[in-house]
Amino acid sequence: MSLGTGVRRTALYAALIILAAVFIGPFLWMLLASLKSTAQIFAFPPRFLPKPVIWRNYLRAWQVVPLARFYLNSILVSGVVAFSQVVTSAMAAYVFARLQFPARNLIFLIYLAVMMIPTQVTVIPLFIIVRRLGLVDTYGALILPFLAYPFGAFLLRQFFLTIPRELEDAALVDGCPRLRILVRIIAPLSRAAMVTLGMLAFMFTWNTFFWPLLVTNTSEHFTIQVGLAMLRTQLVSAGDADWSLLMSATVISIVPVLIFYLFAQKQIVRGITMTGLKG
Amino acid sequence: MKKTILLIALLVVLAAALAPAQKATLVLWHSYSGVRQQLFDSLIKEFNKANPAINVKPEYGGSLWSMRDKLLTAIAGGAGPHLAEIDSYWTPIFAKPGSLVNLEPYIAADARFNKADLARASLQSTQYQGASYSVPFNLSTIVMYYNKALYKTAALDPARAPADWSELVSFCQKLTVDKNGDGTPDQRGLTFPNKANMGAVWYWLAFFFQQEGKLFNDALNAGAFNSAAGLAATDLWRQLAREGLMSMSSGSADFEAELAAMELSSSSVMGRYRDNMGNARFGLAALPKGKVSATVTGGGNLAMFSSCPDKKAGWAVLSWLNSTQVNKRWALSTGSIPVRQSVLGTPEYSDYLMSDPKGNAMIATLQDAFIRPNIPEYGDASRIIAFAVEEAMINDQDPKPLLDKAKAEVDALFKK
Repeated sequence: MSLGTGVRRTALYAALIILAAVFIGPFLWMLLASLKSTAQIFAFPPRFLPKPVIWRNYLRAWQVVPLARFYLNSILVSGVVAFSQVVTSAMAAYVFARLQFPARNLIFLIYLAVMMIPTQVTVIPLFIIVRRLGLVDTYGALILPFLAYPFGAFLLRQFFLTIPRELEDAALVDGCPRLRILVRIIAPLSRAAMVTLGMLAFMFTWNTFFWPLLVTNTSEHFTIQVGLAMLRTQLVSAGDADWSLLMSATVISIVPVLIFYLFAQKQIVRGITMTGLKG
Repeated sequence: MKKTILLIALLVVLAAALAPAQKATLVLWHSYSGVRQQLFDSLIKEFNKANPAINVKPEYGGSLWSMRDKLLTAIAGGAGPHLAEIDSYWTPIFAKPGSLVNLEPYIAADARFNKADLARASLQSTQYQGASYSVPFNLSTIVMYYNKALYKTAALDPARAPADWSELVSFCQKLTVDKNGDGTPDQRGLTFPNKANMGAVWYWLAFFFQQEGKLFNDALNAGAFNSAAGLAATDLWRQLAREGLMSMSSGSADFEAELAAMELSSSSVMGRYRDNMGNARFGLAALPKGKVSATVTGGGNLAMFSSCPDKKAGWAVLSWLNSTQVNKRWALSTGSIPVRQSVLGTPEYSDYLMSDPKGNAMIATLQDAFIRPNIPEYGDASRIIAFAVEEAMINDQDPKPLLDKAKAEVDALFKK
């Protein structure tokens, strides 16, 4: 290793460490704040470490609102939506990537254009549909509208296009049906993209606030984000909150996403090595 | 034969027991969570027990910050609640499109509902085009909290808060301290939510009304806040920010942590400070005077929506929740100012007031209390004003062109 590369490496790592700190900083602050009292959080000059450490914040977070119920609801809803979006997106993506039919690209374009319509425009019609189906305040309202989403089809189509067609040809010649090709050949090769999509869908559903607030009315069906909003101290006409309580609940709320992410990260790395055969 | 009669009798009894009683189920959305939700739910339970023909179902509709969006969408989608707690300035917003029931006929028919007993500001907030469209439930005003210990350190009289604007500034100067000598004060004189996204406009209105400002013209079809009053209120904020006399972060946390010696906040926070700081450590006073004394009210009202299937039952719920007995209990447990003056005379509430001079100071602020203007445009207008004031304060700019521009934007709201 020459001196030049050594210096470059050091500079690179320094830059990476700074960047990592920028990203980890807020999470670390949240974690530390969750163990402080409100007075400690706002103390000046700021003290980094909580002293004394107030573990009780976590206990209180579970007690003040039915957090466990919200938690389970969010896991259920996000899990089903993420799984379903991967399945429906893969099927749509395969069609758009491989099959030849008239106006394919135009249809794909229109399909994508749907993504550009802002939520504010669609929320009332969507709400009316959900109400007519009798789904207000049910899991159905939280899950059904999101079983398929164009973004996933777009993401996977781009990925499928990079897979050499030759891999499918043998199967096609032997008369293997398309669905089977998708499941047996394309899906294993696209694991990285599919896991990424699943993770994005999971995170998006997990974090969404307005829709669950809108379609659920009882705490049996509230998701974690509505629950976090409930934790904000209800000071009449004054926007303020019990920050230590809110921070501990927020820490609790990101754990599943974090676990899912760590799991997905491994899959992505594995997926990339597996698809290394292209080119 | 006997057996048959017995059997028939039994069947009749069974049928009577099983037949669905004509029960009106009314859904009520509220914004309460935690302890307040428990209290509210227990009140509703009590009502349901006392009124077997009515079944009120309380549901959490989001905090008042997000419930308006939920209400608007749900009503547009035909699945709104029958009753709801609404922020006190929403009455015209929902009454104008016809979503709310005009309550005047029900008030007239209800001998127990004494309109004259309602706190003046509360009653005003229920009005739209001369009729009542909601009933008051929660009431609060902006008051000043001050830290007596920090006052003593600064050689100020702990029994007296600043009386007027110039005293406010001079008190702030004495109470802004750079303890470690690094050039940045570690303790500020004042704190309150002074950013647009924290609801600063509520506080700005108090200063504006203290200069006898009028937000809109008399015909209520154009803005009028770019007046001398608007400039004076904004300039005061500018000065407090420029001289570093007020904290630029959120309010309560700074005050509780004693990083700020005075705070403007809702009267409803008093109970929390009592618990967290100790009652002797802080004082409560009316806001400093401008040309006149003024504060602004906040709080929540209860309203009935046109979708309510049984309006008589709906009114019974509203009337009961607003009654002296229920309002007294709500006020004592939550720190809300009573919306009925008769509550003040009850033995329990007088005891409560006698036990702490702060309570009397809080009630006294009602005399100079203004409501937020009762027109549907206020909500959007307040946003526009808030950003203009914020820009003037943070950039230390002349507020005149900013308020002029905001007025033009507000005028456009009326032409929609």
